[in-house]
Amino acid sequence: MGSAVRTVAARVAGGILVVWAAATCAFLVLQLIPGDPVNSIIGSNALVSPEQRAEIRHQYGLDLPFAAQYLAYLGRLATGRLGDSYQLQQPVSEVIAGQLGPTAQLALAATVLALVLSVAVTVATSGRAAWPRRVSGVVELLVVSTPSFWLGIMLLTVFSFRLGWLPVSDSGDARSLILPAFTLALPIAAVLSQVMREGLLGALEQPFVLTARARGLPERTVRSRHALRHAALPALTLAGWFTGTLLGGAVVVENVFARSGVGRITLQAVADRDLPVVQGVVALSAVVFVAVSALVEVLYAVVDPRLRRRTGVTAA
Amino acid sequence: MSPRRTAVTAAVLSLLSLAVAACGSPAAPANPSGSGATGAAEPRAGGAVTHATGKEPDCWDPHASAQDVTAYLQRPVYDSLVYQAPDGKLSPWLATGWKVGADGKEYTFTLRQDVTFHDGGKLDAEAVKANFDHITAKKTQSQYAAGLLGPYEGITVSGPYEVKVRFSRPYVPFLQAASTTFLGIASPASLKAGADKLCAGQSVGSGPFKAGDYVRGQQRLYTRNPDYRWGPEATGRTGPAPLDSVKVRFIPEAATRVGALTSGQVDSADGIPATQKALIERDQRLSVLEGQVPGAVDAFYLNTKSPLFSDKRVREAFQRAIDLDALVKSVFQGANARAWSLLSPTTPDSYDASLEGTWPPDRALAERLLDEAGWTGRDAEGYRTKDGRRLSVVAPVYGEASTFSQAVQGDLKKVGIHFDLKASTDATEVSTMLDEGRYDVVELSWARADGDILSHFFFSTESSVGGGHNFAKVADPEVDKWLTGAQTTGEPAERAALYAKVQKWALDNAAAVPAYVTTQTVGFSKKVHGLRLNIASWPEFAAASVEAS
Repeated sequence: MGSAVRTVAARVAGGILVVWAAATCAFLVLQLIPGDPVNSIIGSNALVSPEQRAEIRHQYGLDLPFAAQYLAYLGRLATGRLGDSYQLQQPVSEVIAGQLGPTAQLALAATVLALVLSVAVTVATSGRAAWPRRVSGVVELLVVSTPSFWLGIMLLTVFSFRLGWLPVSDSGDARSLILPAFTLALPIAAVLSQVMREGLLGALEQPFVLTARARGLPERTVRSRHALRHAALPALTLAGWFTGTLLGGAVVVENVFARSGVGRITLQAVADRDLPVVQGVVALSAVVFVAVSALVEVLYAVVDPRLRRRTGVTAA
Repeated sequence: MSPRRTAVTAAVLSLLSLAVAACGSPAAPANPSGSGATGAAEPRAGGAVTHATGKEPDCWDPHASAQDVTAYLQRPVYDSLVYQAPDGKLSPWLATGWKVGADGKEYTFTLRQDVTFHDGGKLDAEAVKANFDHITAKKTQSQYAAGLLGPYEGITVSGPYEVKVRFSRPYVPFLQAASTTFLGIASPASLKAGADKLCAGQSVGSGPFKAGDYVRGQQRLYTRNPDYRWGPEATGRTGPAPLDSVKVRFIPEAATRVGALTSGQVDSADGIPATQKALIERDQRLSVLEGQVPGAVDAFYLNTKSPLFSDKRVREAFQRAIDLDALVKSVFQGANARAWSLLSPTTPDSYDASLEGTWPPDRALAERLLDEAGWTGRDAEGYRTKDGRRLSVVAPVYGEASTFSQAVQGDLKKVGIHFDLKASTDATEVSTMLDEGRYDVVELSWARADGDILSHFFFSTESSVGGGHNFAKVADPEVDKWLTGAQTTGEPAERAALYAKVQKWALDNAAAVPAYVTTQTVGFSKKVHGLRLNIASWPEFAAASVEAS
């Protein structure tokens, strides 16, 4: 019991360290980018006096020394108040919170879709015949190498503009989630199915499969109940990459499909040099990564009973 | 064929059929009921229109924001004291009239007495004062509206429905400024809600539409104000808008915006790229509206004090060496017109049409002028030199150099001028170069429906250091006199004559090279009637209606 508490405490401390490091990097990078943030606050079309400039500089604390700005930033981060956006004149936490819903919806839909697609493709192409593997291998390679911007525009052109089956995003219409979710899910599904097929084929050569077959289990059960679990382990290891793809992909997908969300405001914030929003998004991404890593840890134990005793994490 | 080859072929073929489906199949009619002749149906009351736009305001408070898109998307919600018609004429709106004091420094506005804000508040002198006080308050951090007020001194309430606005010197452009959304009149109660609420789009005005639901990154709804009775007389429509509602959707990607229009998912869309215009014009169900943006056109301002350009011959060579007719046509594919004056033809009472055709491209002349100025040598790359120095024209660019300026670069090389585009994302670096005068050329445009925009560029006091835009570093007492004169006289013809002098002077002295006039292109379904472009060339919905579908 004591060791379990220690393990959890170590995990939490590690997580905090990761978030702090990411936030510090974001702060440093944005400090090092040359240019006066006041210019980005007032924009290029502005008609303002030098006095007003100084006033703005003071209001956002940009006249403080470097160390003071950093400490103030960490203080805000710790309390969850991320300061005010330069452009939107609203607290960053509110700006991001207001956009989390649509992005979470999109990411969740894409994740489910990617998992379903990859498992289906894996099971369907890991049979005795080699040609389904070859076909799907080529298709997977093509999908992975297709820029999601192009893929999104193509899907839109065909299914929305030409066939009229699905609308361009509309907050009131759930059908508008389908195309963006596919655009985001396809490259992930392609990589996952490649990895899982490798794993499945490897597992099928293991002695326990022979045992299962000898017990007279049907081939379908052998594959889906026993071998697929083994194949899932290498796929789980990809969770970090998977999360990154979802977050990065959301930026492209949300803009192509005109969906609201964190990706949309991220792109706008980067273009407008809205530093507090960029820093907030980085901090949020770090938190998501830490949470996903913890979840993967748990899932390892669920999928592979051999790991349960060692990590001290009990899978319910 | 080996199994591997078959697989590759199959995959390629399936991709091809996808591509063919995307390019080849004819568009399915999205609105099968639209079978009647175009525009024949009677406009009716009611209905809704969905409009797609590319940009979304960062801040929705026009008193604080400097964004064009804020002024555009808040026009349906906020009325102004003065109305400016698409031809530039100023007429009463929330103000029934105005008087200018004998010294030209004081404007007395009398207000309508029947105007109610969307929250039920009444428009009166105190309400107008509250708006001016909000614009000029330090806390508002106005990026544009306060600047539009020029030499503003203050506002006083001189009666329940009368205000006096005072300036430190005569300032005629104030009336046009008062007609913009930037100086729009908000409900005084709404102004107390705080900057974050106002910026987030909690807007209460007295306009034909009320600000409805807003989802950032998605859409903004406008609902009809049924009590509206105070539309500008000059529009011929003073009552409520025909449409029940307008939904504006923010679709940043131009291809998606155009696709949404051609597939009938939106009824109109602005910011149509030049390359897509023909596609929309060919579509039987769609139509296009175009308007040239008024104000200062995209132009190169030449630093008349730089070591290189203090020689007028070199400036003139730069002016005439660029084949603007050909460049503008090829870069913008006919969407934007080549400019002959610093002002756009749609700028009211100020554009000098007599300048058209007076300074055609003349490469031979440019070569001769450069020879005369002593730039006779040539270096290994073919650029002209003098005393071993290359003829390099330095142009600081914030961000990325545009396709157009790169085309200009190629053209100037033909006469041996090195157009050195110093693109930088470092705003400090760029503004330091500007402040210290270490540049030869600055390229920019500035939309505003008044010839007074020239003051920002040529008043001797408008230096870059003070936040002004006199990039040509013009300090000519005569130019100052013309510009002040145009700010002082209320007579449109007199103002036009004075602005014409400034436009001609700038060309004769090669202080600037006007390049092209930006055109706004709006595509819309033919079922939408009464949609038009306002003076700032933004689509306006107050008079729009839609056929029953």
